[in-house]
Amino acid sequence: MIAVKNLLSIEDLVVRFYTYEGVVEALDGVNLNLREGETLGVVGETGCGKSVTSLSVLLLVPPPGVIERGKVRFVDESGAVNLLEQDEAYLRSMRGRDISMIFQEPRAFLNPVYTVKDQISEVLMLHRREELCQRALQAIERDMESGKANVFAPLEKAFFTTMFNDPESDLVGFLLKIPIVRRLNRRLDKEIRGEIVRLLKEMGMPDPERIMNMYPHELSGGMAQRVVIAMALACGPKLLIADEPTTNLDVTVQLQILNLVRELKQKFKSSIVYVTHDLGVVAELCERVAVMYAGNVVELANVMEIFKKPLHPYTRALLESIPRPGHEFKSIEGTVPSLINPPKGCRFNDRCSNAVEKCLREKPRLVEVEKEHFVQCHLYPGGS
Amino acid sequence: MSIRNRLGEFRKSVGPAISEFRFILHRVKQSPLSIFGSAIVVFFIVLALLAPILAPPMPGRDPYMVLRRGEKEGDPDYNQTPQPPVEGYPFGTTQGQYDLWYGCIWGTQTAFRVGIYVVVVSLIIGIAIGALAGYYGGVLDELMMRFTDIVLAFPGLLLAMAFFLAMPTRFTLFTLGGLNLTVNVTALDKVLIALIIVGWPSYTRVIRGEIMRIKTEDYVEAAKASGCSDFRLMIRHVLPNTVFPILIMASLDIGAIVLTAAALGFLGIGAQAGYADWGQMIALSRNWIVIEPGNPFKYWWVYNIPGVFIFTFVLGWNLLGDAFRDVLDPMIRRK
Amino acid sequence: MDYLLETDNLKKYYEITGGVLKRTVGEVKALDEVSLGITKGECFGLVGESGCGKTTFGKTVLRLLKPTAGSIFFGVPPEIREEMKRLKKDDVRDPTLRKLRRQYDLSTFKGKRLKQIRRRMQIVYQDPTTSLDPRMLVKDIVAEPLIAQRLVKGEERKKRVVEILKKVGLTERHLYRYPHEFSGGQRQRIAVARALVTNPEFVVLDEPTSAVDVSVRAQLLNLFQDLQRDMGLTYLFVSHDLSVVECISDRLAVMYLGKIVELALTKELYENPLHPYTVALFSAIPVPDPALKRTRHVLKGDVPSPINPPAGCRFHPRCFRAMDICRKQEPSLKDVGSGHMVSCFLFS
Repeated sequence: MIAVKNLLSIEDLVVRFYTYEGVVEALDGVNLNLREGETLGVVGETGCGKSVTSLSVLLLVPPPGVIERGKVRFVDESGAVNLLEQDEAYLRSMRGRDISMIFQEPRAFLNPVYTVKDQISEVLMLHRREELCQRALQAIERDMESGKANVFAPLEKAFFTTMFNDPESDLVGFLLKIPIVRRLNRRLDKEIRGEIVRLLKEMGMPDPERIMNMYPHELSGGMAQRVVIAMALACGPKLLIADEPTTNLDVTVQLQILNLVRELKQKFKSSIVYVTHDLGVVAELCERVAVMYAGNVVELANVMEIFKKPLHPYTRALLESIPRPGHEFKSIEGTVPSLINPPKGCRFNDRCSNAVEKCLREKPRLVEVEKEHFVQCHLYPGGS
Repeated sequence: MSIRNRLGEFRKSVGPAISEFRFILHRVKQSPLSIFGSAIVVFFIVLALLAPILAPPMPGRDPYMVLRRGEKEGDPDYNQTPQPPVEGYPFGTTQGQYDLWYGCIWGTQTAFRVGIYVVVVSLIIGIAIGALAGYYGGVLDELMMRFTDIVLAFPGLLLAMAFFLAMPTRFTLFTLGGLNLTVNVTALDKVLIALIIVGWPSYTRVIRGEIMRIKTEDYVEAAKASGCSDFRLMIRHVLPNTVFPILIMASLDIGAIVLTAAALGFLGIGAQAGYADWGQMIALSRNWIVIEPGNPFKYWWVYNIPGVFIFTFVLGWNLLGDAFRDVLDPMIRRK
Repeated sequence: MDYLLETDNLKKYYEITGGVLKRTVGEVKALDEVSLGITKGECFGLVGESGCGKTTFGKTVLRLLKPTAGSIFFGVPPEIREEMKRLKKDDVRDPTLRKLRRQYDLSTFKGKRLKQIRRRMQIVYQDPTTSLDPRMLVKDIVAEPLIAQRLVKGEERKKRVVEILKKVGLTERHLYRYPHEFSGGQRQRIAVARALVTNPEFVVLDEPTSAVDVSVRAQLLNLFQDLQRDMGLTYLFVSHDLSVVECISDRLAVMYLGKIVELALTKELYENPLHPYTVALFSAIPVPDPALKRTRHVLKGDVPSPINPPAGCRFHPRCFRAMDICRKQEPSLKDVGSGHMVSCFLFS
């Protein structure tokens, strides 16, 4: 058996929110891992912590949230690093390049006063500047050789070489602001445009040239989400975190986007963490699934196992509550506990039909009950 | 329902409101500037309430007319040159020997009166017009808003001055078959009316905007679906939800109104001479700023002290308005 | 047919104004000649994607929106309806017809009569966070319809409020709290209590389970069914969630761009969808079964806007079975057997 490497592994992640009403224990020791090239679904209901988990990977948890402890190991070029220990500069270089994120409401993600082209080019310039400068330089050299160059060519060459070598240089920044000198940027602009058109075509957008010049409010939900995905994949990230990207879309558009995500994953060889509350989407798209409840991962297994052989009582109850015609509606008794003073022991104990006395005292640990099937429950040996 | 039941009902209804209020207090406590602003406003309220004790008036005389030096003793001094602070006259005296301490302390009451009257009446007008315009829309909206725009187009200070000067001191409201309703207005009243006339348009626009926003909320439509009349919708659902933005505007405006009134007073348009009003106090200091070339600070107390009062008062209300704005944000988020 | 609620060619167009003089430059055809009938005691499902007009229909039928044209009949005896249909066939401008319309057609009601009808028809909104006034206590929210309709006073009113709260699964303890202190599912129950406090006959449920979690959804659906039985209610269940609608509705209509494209008994529709849009819609629903293999019809393009609907059949640009005639003419709803209606040239 070829051992597939873990691209991302979250160990014992604890996140708390310090609010007026009290301390919310949002994540209570979350454990999950993502293998290279796979799509991991993170399912759960409101308040289970799936969004907080996905935000924690890039340390984007908003205040008053604090990541208390835990490890988020990510494998980049140099090896495995714990993202939680890295400084802001490193993280900034990672976001958008190695790890990208897309959110639920695409038009909230896009800046309403900039066109699609401006926004995608911002991402490109941030992370692929050298490559684009190099291409511009090559284009200039080709022109110079073939004699098509004009008077400005040596200037342009110098300009782009500076940009290539020292992108943060003040001189470059200054020159870019002068209207006439900005024309030097034209070649870069052309490269960028070409790249954007290519990206949009890959997203299956008809007429990319027209879409490039549109503003976010002119786009429909589906198109906006495609633009967001284009921005996320512009730099070919190894990991894509998708936080409920199709929840707000119509069901036929959702099908298009899900198909797109599947295609792109093949093409870009990315790994995906797909957070959602829709079990249908998970069944369609994901290879492995993590089920979360009240800040814990309660079950983690391959998608067939989760749906055909669910082990944790919550997973079972969740699957049973899906409405089926001809059957009566089975709901889960009770409500999700408040995370401000969470119950001791297993957090599902007040709603679990299999609860025993131990469940009230001791919190179970996530253990491998069957091959590649992890459960956090006292019902299973090794879980205590 | 028996009285005890009614009391119980009341107490139960008030409970959740109290916990909301506690949340507001908590938010206010989180910002030191808000606490500072509230403290200033509370300080001025106390000052205004304690005016009769801090600066005792002469019996039998309108307490708002500032006492001159020695007037209480029966020997008023009419010397025009201001005297610096001495024992018994902690802020000194200004032109005409008006006691600055007296003027500033009682001036606090005037400031509150001016600020609150003008803001409250402007609010009422603003709500009436803004609510009608925002709720019904269409032609009514257009008419009212264009009218508001026209009033807003006039330069505020000049318009206030013009109204002040044009207003008669007594006018008949109406004559109805023998019955006559005549009204006497004092100079201060004229200032208030002038400021109201100039102040209401800005409220109208804000309130109209808020109402247009709330009008489309689901819960308003749900109430309509239950059969609520337009009037009930407005009073019970729409207006209570506009309270916070209005509060913010109002508290910021009180400071601005007092400042404008003081400016008018400085220009000579305001309460009658000798009235206990900060603007008046500064007006009296006009001649003493440049009296001695090269040394504008010779009579520093005549304009500095009333100036400090005005500045602090306006600052307090501005900070309070900001405090309200800070509180409004998390209340939305919390819900 | 004896319908509790019936619409006849109901239209709702929104005008788009533009330019300096605010002239009408276009129309949003949110509802375009929708005719359907809902029988007493049934749960009628209405599905479609964004922009199809299903929510507009629900609100127009309750007169929360004023119809541009067409009629709405609520609780009109079948004989009168027959009479009206007969008269309409002969001469649309018949004065008797006009008189009957003024008497029975909900779209002509105003003022007091409209207010009285509101007692009998209510709505539950999708998002319980925005449909409850954040500044009102639960007891006031639920009592509001009683107060507005001047139905009962004082002690009696309080009793009714407590009674209806118990029916939806809440208790007296919840009376003196603000909505934001409750969970989404509980808030939705408060909204249901408010809708039912006047004992209505007809309730529009506008995506009532879309904003709540899956586990709470089942609770709410059970509640809806129980209440329907206990109180003899008739539902119009508007939703974009096809799996929920399949379980709760007796009959179902599919809407696209303001028109009904298919209408049938729920079981019949799911077993035998005819209209290409219905087929595509059903195939797009993600099913929580990873082993399931089926043909998925991926529609091209986005859901078009109702401002400029395509000529001919509105679905033809995205239809995978479009024919020549679809581009030129609009099909109409035809019965293809036992009440299964389709609006498509493939079946007429």
